[in-house]
Amino acid sequence: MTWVAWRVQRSQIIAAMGVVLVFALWLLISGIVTGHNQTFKDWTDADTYVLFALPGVLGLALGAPLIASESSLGTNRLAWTQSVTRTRWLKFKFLVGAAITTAVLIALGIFLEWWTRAVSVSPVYQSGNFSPAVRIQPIAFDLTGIVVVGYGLFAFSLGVALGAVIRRPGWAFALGLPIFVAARLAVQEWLRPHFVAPAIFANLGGQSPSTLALDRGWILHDALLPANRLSPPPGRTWAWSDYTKSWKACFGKPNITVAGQAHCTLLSHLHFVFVYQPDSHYWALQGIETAIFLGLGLLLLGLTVIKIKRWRS
Amino acid sequence: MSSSGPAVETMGLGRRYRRTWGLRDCSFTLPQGRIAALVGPNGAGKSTLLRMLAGINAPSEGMVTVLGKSPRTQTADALSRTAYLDQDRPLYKDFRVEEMLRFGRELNPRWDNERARRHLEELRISQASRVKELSGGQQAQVALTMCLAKRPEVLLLDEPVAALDPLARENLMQILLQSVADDGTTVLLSSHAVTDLATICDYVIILSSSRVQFAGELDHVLAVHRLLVGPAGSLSATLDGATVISSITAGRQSTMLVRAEQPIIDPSWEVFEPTLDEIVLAYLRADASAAETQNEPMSRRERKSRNSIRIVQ
Repeated sequence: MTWVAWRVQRSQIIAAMGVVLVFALWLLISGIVTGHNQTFKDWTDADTYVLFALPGVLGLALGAPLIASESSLGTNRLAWTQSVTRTRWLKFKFLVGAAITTAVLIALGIFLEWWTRAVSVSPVYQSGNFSPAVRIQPIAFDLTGIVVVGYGLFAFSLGVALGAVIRRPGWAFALGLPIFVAARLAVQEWLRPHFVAPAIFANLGGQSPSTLALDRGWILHDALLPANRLSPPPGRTWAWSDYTKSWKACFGKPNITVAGQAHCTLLSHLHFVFVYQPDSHYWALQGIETAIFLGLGLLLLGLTVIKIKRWRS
Repeated sequence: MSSSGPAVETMGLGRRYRRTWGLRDCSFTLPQGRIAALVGPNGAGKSTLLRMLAGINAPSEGMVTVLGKSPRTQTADALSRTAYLDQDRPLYKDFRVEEMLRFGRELNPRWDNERARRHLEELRISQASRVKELSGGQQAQVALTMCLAKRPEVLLLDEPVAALDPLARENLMQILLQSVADDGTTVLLSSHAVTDLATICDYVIILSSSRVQFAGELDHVLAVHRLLVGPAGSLSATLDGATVISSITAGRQSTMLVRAEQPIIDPSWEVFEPTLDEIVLAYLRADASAAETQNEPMSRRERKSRNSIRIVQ
């Protein structure tokens, strides 16, 4: 059965590998060149969008045809009338597909780990609005560690489930990609900041510290607050209005110098407050995020099993 | 190994597609070791019935058992007892023939590779050729080989002779007869080619208008149907206990096919024994004339067809 599962998926696997290899080659060139050439910064910015979608593209490319291509060619009627139950048939196909997806994702993960380091040496990124060097921040977080495997396997399950419902591999892929992006962004924006209670950094007056001083962390909120309001009100985090009110006091004045601003905040007993996820939370966040996507993948697999058992053709 | 009950039994079996019924009120019992012909016009529900027997689709209503079990139980053991040839002959087109055989070997515990190899050799189909490079007839033969090598107890064949040349048809009939003689296989095959079937089948199921019009032993079919030739205008009211299946009037002469349990003693009619061809044709003709009234409202049409073709069960 393993051979059958492999043989049926072989051409799709080769096609998906080809796509990944082309991307990897592109990254390899841009990764090497960016370190030495400022003009390639735009390329690398474009790469980050590609990299955001890549685990999804790979997972969906392998997952969407798993059932849909058999259904659209009618070969499911051949496979389901051999002496193997549908659930067993799906189990082997899913495991072989998932194993291939995982292997490619691990290779991709190792490559991306290298790529983020190669890119982060580039001086142009030290002043950018994201730094691949800070591994807990979005983009770098998504490309390093183990989350890539979680994303890819989720996309794989999503492709399988959509393929079982839509029964057209192309449509399952086309619908799966926006769902994948939406799920990724939703978790990143709304859930990931709360996986682990964030750290708080307060600094009386003076200038705001750089992110490096914040233990290479991922800043979720920052505010300028009086000493008596250093903790957020119960049940909520700092609001933008808290920040702006105090901000106007020292930063709203025209022609004020940086030193003057620092002096003003010091005199007003204003604190720079940062709510952030420190670098030490990196693996906790990675683990929880990966578990969430693997869990979603398992849920989709369960739905696919139900769909297969109640198949109507 | 196999129970002594019927090979196939259905009771009030029906399957509804979105708006129309693919098959309705289908009841018959097929004893083991028979070669049964499933005949009827296009769209009569032959494929719908066979797919339900193969366990691919679940019935919308009614009951169906194959070798005493519901085809939807889908245990590996139950699946291994039945083989099914789909009307589309689905095969993995990029496989080589030898890979199709390996597919069969890996998915079927009772796979008879020697039988498959011998069968293909007789047909001069090379195992090294790719499925998509074979002609339609050769692909049909490979699909059929897959069914035979499974060594099933019940063989469900949807239009098995459709793509075959006369010699291959003759060859298939011999193989089926041999299989029934050697292994006691029960064969249920659908076909338009009634002439071919008459030579080997001993059981007939006539489907039209999504309903079973007749199901029974071939001898019984032949015994209860009579062809009557008489002057035009003689009313069927004179035929007590006989059901008119279809009648044709040409000039001053009428030809009717009737179903009658008792012998017809009426001097105004000449009585002949019809062939299976003529009986099937009469049922198909009745179905066609029922279809001509399609512009009438649904309820009226249904009532009419029920009256003109009395359900024989």
